[in-house]
Amino acid sequence: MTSPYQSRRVQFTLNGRSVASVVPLPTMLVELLRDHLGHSGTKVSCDTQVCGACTVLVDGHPVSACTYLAIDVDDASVQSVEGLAAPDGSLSPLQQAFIDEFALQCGFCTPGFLMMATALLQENASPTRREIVEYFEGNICRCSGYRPIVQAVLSAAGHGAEGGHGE
Amino acid sequence: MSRIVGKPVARVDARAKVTGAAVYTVDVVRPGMVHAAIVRSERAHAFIRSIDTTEAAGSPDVIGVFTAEHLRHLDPYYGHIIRDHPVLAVDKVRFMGEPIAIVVASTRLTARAAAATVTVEYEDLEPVIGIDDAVRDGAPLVHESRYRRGTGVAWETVPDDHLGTNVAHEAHLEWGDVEAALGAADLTVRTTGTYPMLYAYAMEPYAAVAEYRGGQLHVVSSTQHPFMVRAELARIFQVPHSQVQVEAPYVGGGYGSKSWTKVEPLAAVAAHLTGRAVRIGLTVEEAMLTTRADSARVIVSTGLTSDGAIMARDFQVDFNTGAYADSSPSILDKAVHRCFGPYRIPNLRIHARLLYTNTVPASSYRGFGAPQGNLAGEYNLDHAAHKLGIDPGQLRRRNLAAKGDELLPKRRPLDADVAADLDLLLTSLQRDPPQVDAPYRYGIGFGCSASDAGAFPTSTAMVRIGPDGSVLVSSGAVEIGQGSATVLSQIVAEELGLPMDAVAIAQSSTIATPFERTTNGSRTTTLVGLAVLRAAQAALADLRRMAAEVWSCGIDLVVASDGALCGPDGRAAGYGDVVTSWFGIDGGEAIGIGIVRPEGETKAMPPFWEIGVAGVGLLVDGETGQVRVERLATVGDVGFAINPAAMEGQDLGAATQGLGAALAEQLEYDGGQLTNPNLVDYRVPRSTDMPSIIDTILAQRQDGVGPYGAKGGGEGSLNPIGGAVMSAIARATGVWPDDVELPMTPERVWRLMRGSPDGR
Amino acid sequence: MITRFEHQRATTVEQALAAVASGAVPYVGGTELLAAMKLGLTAPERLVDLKQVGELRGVRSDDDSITIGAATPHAEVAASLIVRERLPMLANVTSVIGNPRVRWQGTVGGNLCFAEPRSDLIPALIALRARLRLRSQEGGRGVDMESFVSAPFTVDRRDDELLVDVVIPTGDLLFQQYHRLQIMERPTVGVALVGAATGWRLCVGAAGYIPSWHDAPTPGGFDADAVADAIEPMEDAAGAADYKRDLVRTLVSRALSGARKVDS
Repeated sequence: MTSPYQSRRVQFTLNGRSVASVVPLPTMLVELLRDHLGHSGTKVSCDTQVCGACTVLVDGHPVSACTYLAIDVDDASVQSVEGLAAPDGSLSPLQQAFIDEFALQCGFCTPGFLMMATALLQENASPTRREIVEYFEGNICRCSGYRPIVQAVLSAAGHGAEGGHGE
Repeated sequence: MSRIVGKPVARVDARAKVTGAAVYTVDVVRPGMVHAAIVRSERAHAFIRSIDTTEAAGSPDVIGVFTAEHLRHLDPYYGHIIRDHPVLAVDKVRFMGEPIAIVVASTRLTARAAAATVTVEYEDLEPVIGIDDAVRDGAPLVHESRYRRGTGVAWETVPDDHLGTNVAHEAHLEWGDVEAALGAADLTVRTTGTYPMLYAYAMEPYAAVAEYRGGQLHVVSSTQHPFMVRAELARIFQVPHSQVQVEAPYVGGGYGSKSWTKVEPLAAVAAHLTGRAVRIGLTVEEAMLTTRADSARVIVSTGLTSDGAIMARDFQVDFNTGAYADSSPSILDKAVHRCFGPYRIPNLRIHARLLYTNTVPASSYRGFGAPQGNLAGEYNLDHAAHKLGIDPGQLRRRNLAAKGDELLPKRRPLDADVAADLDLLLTSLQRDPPQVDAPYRYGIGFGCSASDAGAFPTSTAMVRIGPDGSVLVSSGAVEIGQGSATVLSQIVAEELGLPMDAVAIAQSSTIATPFERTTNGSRTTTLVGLAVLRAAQAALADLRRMAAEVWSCGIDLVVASDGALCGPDGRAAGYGDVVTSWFGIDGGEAIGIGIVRPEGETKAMPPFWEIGVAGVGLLVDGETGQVRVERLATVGDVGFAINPAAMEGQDLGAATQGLGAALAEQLEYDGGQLTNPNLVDYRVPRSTDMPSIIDTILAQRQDGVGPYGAKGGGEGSLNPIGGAVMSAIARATGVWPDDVELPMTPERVWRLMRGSPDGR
Repeated sequence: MITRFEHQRATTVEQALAAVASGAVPYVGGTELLAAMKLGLTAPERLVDLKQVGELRGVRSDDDSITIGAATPHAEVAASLIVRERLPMLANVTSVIGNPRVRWQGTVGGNLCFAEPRSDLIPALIALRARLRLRSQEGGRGVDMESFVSAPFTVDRRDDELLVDVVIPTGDLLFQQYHRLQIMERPTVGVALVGAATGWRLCVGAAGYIPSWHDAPTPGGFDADAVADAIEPMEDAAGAADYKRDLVRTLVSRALSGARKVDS
């Protein structure tokens, strides 16, 4: 298969492990994760940065992976939803809170919300309800009406969680 | 009492969904899978003069480029009620965005790049866009030719010819003498409600992967109705159903927009013509050009006595259904049944038309015709209450039908106490009114609805108890987020006296699970629930027979207790031991089958009435027109909530979609072009729009025919929200227009306050 | 769909200047550039990533001013203690732009150079009388914020220039507040009001094609009706011209009554 695009190798840390891939330059981070590295937990919905389904953390900060060049995570640390649980499979307090509070229905937005919540709790370990609501302004959930998601983050924060076992 | 049902048991799919392990159609990868991109019409209404695919077909890595020409050996139309929808446009295009050609290539990028090179020559035709366009004398016709009946069998009212018009379907309902009653009424209130074109926005866009394996067509699709899709595909390819497999994994949102056939034929013909596994994955923009919800204009006149008794109601309903009928004839019929509300109405007349236009085809969306009619019908009653000087709650109570009353002739009587629901709602809404300072104004609005929901009682299910006593439930129902996997598992665990973790469920595969007609109409808990309950009971009966044989005793001496079987003389055995003893080896299963069809408690239609009782308290900024919803209350009158947490989540989600339609969502057309097929210019509710106080109330009176007295829910809480918001704004601003239109954007509220409610 | 491009990464300003001089299009977060490329609205042949150019990032201050590197993410500005203390309005504005992903991916310089008319940052910096510093291989020059944007998406930056930083005078600030009204995905109206010993400035953004600003010796010198009438409103999904003009009037009135409470 021929490609009209140049390719480049990108090497980075994904959920604590070193990975590398050779990708065509226009590849977005979400495509690198889903199509090249088999990490399909991060989803594409709007593909225009406004829905949050594709949220991952790059060096601890949330980005829209649908509009972030894969080659721009070279040497960076990336965290996706697959990295939230511990290696032995035990869920993070945030993940458990989402289950306990029924903070998901179809689940398509859930990885994005979990990553946003992880970023929030890393920045602010005890957010108020208002702060959580505002932090999630850029993440759409079409199923739940948001209340249980906010409740889950409050609950996880109450247990002193920072959102992840992984890096 | 109930051990597992009635409890907020954790969702069985939650772990997969919070770890990223849950597989949706968009995640499916097949060996050698290739990608299809769609060439879409750039005209709203035109003949296709030529399609030039040479550059695309000649591109390296392009495997094939196909148009309707390549489908002539098939029966390339679908539409389960009216078979009017070509897989690829034949001779003409009927809406901007209609698929004209498919390009199949090795990568998504290559397919899209090649698709962009396909050029189409059109001969323009005048498009019809709005309702008035579609019905005027001499209007261009969206469909000139006769259509055929679709695959749906329960259809009675599709007329055979509407040649010469854009009317796809009509429906009427009448009793009494409306003219006389209106003439005799003390007050007649005539208002119009215009409901917008909406996009359901399931966050997982339409996707399908199709491939042939050993001559059989296998399709994975983000669909709510795998068995319906199977029937359509089987007919398109003229093969038996058993040669087509359709499977839905977890579906990333449906809300009705993934009911019926969508992109599966495109994927299937591409697989058929290339011999490859072909993936189609639409962008959100393409999804917005695939399916929307019917918009409507409803004119309602209600005649009342001076103390608020309804004497007569007259409705004229026009639905704009876009270029293809999809499920909208049924939606129109349901709108007719639902628009007049759960009231005693001595004289009723409804005329309804479903109109083709050159816009994106409309199909089902949560509420299924109820929201469109409810906006008009409930606002009309609030307007009447205002004119009569009667409390709007009192007006409702004066007229509400009681449990056991007939809402529709010869149908199941009302199986709900709507007046009691209304009391619960108003107590909640009227609690602690906020302190309001200028420029804000506060208003409360609410409404009632009753929907003949549940679709059809056609369900089958299996429960399999294995050699270790653990259980597999097998159902054709889809997990679209509503919680079907969990609720169905709860029922089986309850019936078998087992813990949840002994039960697993397989769903939504036409080959691997038994027949389920549809996942829609709020039917799954009630009807599929009955099927799995019967299957569990049948499996248990089977086990008891096995034990009786193994123990050489009468079956009446075998008792199920706490997840085990007990026999005479203190004998006891776990389910697994019974199975293996009976089979004489470490293997085997007890298999129970459950069937639901129109007989017994599910003979009367509808299987249940889905009640919608909901309301809001909102603040209007008197200077900017912005609306802030302070209070939201919903009542889920569901008989018995098998999983109360899941049910409340469904009610809040439904009401939130209702708020979106009421305040912000509208698809906008400029001529034949949809101007906002994206989520920046189509605004869905966000976390910051969440009402400050939310009360999701459940009313559980065990008055349904479903398991443990359950009835359906999940759409009811959306239905009254449009009218509730409109009336709340009227109360807050003091302006009661005769013609109302959603969404009440800040601009529209601003204009309302300045005396010209009609927008630009 | 993105067409073929080449890509390089700069680690110093000199490298970055050489790259843009040779035709590369600079980016940091890419929230606007990559989005435009995905939609096929622009097709640069070469990109230069500035994320590693440390000199372009960060907040510095002296007694009279605060300087913000063009490649500084909004969230970093919002979190800066110096900014919070001396330019609380700017801290507020950069904490409400978009959403947290936009605030980490997007930068001050990126926002200013893209010049989307529905911007919070541009009217805020106009009101603060910010001065932009640009540099090319030929040398540097300064541009007042109010002169930088001439039309939607049109700024006074040559292709061979980089926006290096933004200098905001802080010496004699008396009052600073930003009011925003947002109906759709981007701001609908933004009103920035800044009072300094040398005079007051009011800037309206997002409603018109370009921001409009007014100067007066005291807040009483502003007239909400006149400010609203001076706007040529953009008509869009948030509203028609008459509605938007009225929103401007309302928001300006609210901003002025907020100032009157303080400046009595």
